[in-house]
Amino acid sequence: MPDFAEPPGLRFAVIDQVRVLEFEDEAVVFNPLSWDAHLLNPAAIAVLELLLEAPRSEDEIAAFLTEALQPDEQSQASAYAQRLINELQTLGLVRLGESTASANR
Amino acid sequence: MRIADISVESLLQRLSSDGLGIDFGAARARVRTALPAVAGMIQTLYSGYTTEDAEGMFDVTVDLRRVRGVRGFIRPQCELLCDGVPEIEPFPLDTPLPLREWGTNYAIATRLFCYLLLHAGVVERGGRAIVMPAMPGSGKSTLTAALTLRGFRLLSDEFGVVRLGDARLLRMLRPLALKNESIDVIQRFEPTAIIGPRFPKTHKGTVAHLAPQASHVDARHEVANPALVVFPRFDPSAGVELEPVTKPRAFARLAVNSFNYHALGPDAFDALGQLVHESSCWQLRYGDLDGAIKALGELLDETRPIDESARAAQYPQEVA
Repeated sequence: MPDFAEPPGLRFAVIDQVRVLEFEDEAVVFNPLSWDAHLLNPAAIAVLELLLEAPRSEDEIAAFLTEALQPDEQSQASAYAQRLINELQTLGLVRLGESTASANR
Repeated sequence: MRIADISVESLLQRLSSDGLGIDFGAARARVRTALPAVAGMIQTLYSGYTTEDAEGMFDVTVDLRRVRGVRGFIRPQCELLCDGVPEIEPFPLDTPLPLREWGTNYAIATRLFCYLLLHAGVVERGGRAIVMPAMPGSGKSTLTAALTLRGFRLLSDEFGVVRLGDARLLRMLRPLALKNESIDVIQRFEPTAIIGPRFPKTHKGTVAHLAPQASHVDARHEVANPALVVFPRFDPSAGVELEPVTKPRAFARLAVNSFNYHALGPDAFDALGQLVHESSCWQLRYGDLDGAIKALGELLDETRPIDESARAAQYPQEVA
């Protein structure tokens, strides 16, 4: 886990009472607001778990992904982080701001 | 007393007065009708059931009756009232049993919110269940019927009843609805099978019902553990082909396939998650019924039973 400096700017957090069911390299996530279940790929679930630990900025998420990506993909980490955050926000699983999120797994 | 032991006259007398209580396992219904033909049909298809006190508690009361007014004479119809309300469209008067069976299914699906209800055929052997969710026309009922005629016990042809909290499967034991070619397929497959009258003019084509065996009816209050989730698809060009399905994909297909997943929210998510977690999940493409039964039996034998002591530990835990 990278040693994150105090991040400036906005942070993203997981909404409260998300439920996560992990199966091998995929996961099903329950959205407590819509009652929808979503299938997430390994990258999305890794970011969700990172945000469950504590709210993070986009730069922090990109730094986290940089460590997980292959060297030739690391230059894409920032764009990848942005896309994942957008997708998680679209699903209603992530929002801007502090969180008191807890998850059932 | 089993329904088989009651005369048709006595059955009709019961049906046309207080009604006949029937215990399906996970749900109970009270049936009332004064249509004479229905009594004989019920005696055939529910022969293995015991009679219940019609004054007891029931999940739904269904009244099957002839439509009054002009439709009582011109192209006469019958209608089904669920708890006094006509919730579905009338059927022609000569198809009272399909109306009663489909109507009762509808009533159960729209009332029973204490369980997660999957649209699935379910059978078990040794207390370990095979859940077979499928869309209409996939061969689900044919396969379910054939399995119950080859040593598997029926839980349901229509409802996978999942108990919230521990994901055990309950029984909703009702006659199996066979359609079109599958009626003859099952009659040839097991000539001693009790199949009721054929109704050729329903919106699903010709329909007939297979009576559940009395020993299966007697077990209607036993629960079963999930072992296999199998998505069947009949394909006459196929032999027997089994392909694994990942658990998340199985979860998604089961959720879409459920009657009430969205009404139950987190409870349904947890129950379905546990069911999938404890099951081995497969796609079955079959054209050979005997081969499919053999393959599913072997698959069930090969699948390791869940360790009962580990059930609680494997259930999703709160982590933060």
